[in-house]
Amino acid sequence: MAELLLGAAFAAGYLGFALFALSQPRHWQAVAGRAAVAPSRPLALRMAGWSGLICAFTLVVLRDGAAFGSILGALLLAACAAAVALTLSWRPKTLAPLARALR
Amino acid sequence: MRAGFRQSMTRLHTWAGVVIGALLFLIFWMGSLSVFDREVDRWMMPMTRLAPASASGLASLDTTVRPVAEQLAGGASPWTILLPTARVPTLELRYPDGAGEIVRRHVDPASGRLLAAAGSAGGNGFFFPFHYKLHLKAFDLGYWLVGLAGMTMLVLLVSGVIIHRRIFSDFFTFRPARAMPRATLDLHNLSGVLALPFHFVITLSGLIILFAIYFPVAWQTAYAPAGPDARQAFNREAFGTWRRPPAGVPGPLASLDAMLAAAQAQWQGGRPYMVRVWHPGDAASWVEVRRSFADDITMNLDTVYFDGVTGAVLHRHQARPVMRVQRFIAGLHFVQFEHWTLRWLYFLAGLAGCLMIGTGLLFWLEARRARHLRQGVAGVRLVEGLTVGGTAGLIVATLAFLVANRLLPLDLAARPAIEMNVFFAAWGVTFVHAGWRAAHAWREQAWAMAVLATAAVALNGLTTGDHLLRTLAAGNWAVAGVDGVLLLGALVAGGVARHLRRRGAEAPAVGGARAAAGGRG
Repeated sequence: MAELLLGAAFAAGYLGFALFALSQPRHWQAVAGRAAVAPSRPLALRMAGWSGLICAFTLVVLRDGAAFGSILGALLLAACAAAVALTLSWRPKTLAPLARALR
Repeated sequence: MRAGFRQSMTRLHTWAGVVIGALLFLIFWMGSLSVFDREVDRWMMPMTRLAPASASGLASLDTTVRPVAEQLAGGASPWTILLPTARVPTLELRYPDGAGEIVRRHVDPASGRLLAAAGSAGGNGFFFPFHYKLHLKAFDLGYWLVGLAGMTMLVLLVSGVIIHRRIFSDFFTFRPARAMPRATLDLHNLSGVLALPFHFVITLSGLIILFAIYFPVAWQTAYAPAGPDARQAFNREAFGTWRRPPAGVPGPLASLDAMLAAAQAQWQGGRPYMVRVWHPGDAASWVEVRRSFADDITMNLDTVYFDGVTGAVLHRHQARPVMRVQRFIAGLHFVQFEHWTLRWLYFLAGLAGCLMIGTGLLFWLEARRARHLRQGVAGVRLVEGLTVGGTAGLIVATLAFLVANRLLPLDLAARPAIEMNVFFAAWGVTFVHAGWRAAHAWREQAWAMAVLATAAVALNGLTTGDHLLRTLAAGNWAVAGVDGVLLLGALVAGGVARHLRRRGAEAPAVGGARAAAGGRG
């Protein structure tokens, strides 16, 4: 159960930061291809991104309580952001299905 | 923002970083390794690789460690006994020898058997003190250098945020295919921005832990009325230190187990982690029992003092509000709680700090290399030598330390000191090598990391029989974890070395090498 919550929190954080990245034209093009000039609704993407981050943070606080949960949340979100950045550097196409779903 | 301000911040960031960068890298590297110091201890001290202590209650001290302490330490004061934890399966006994040096011995908590002397300072005895006092004893010089570096780090973080032009639009940006200076700066910004909250909190909390050294005026002023006893009064009220003079008359020591049970009852089930016997065998001896903080962030100061002869409670201490805040901040820094996910994240965030510092230095070099060559200035050569030795060389030395640990015979006299000398000798060699091989030094030291890390894993398997397959199967995570990180580090270091060669080898990405050798050492 604890591992499941942690995995879900990481997934939510990763997804949240991926949506943030896709709201930027440069990353959107790298993921969706040159034809897609810009994300159609950057603001909506960012709002969805925020909810992913909030969801991740809530999950770890539920898992570990306010004290440990806040520290874990801060460090876990940094790890999620780093994972998104490395995905965009080396395997941007991994996020293509996400971009297609959002088009 | 006015251009002049940003420019002056850039200058500050650049020069503070170049001057103090190598020292900061050292502190971050040793701090990252200290996150797993107990696990490194198990790796470096094979005789202490016992099965984890049973969770059912406390081991009896009276029948296990006490006879050992009486035999080894006798009346030497104090005996310090650390109880087994989830990370340390042994009872650890520390006492001063005739010369005042602290001796550390391990005892099997199940049988009371004294384990062979470790012959090694290990991670807790070498990496950890390196992190906060650099093994420089004279005039507290190590503490002060670390404090200076910590203050500079705060300046660097703030000025770095000010001069970063596009924090949000570059939030996820790392372009490894671009030219060296650009890719290096990307990595510097990425590791700096993403781990910024961690870096800020860890640096500030590190300074706050040692407030009594860095900001002595605070307590000296507050306790000035106590006159020459000011320090004692401060330690008593802040940390609960309690003392009395020995009687000089012999007196028997009461049951330690009974004192542990009494302390546990006082704390409503809170477990003790340390027992310290002051002036054992004296009629006025006393016993200090401290409460564990393994399941809390705040490192509580709950302590009970017992009369050594009667076992009666002499004094109790709990942190007051201000100290509770200090102990919470200290707990954030020390990671003494049992939380494996957080432990790994601290380790990774610490390595991200190393990456940030290493790439920062490298960017300075790359931005000036061509110009200095043209102008005939020696700056790049000098900084490059110091940077290679201070970053890649430090990792090479750490790995050499581990290899020496597996090669030196156990019965060697002064073996812990020899291990440390191997570390410093290897480190010295890397600086000489960096000065001699110049731009090739990066790649060659990356190869050295790959070879040494692989050798350390192989030697662990050969000399102890605990190879990775066996430790994984047996669930010996401490040893398996160190081996695993070493192998991973070897792979990354080898990959970086090959990448540097393809790239033309001049001026490599230390960043990769660093993350690479990100072994816990």
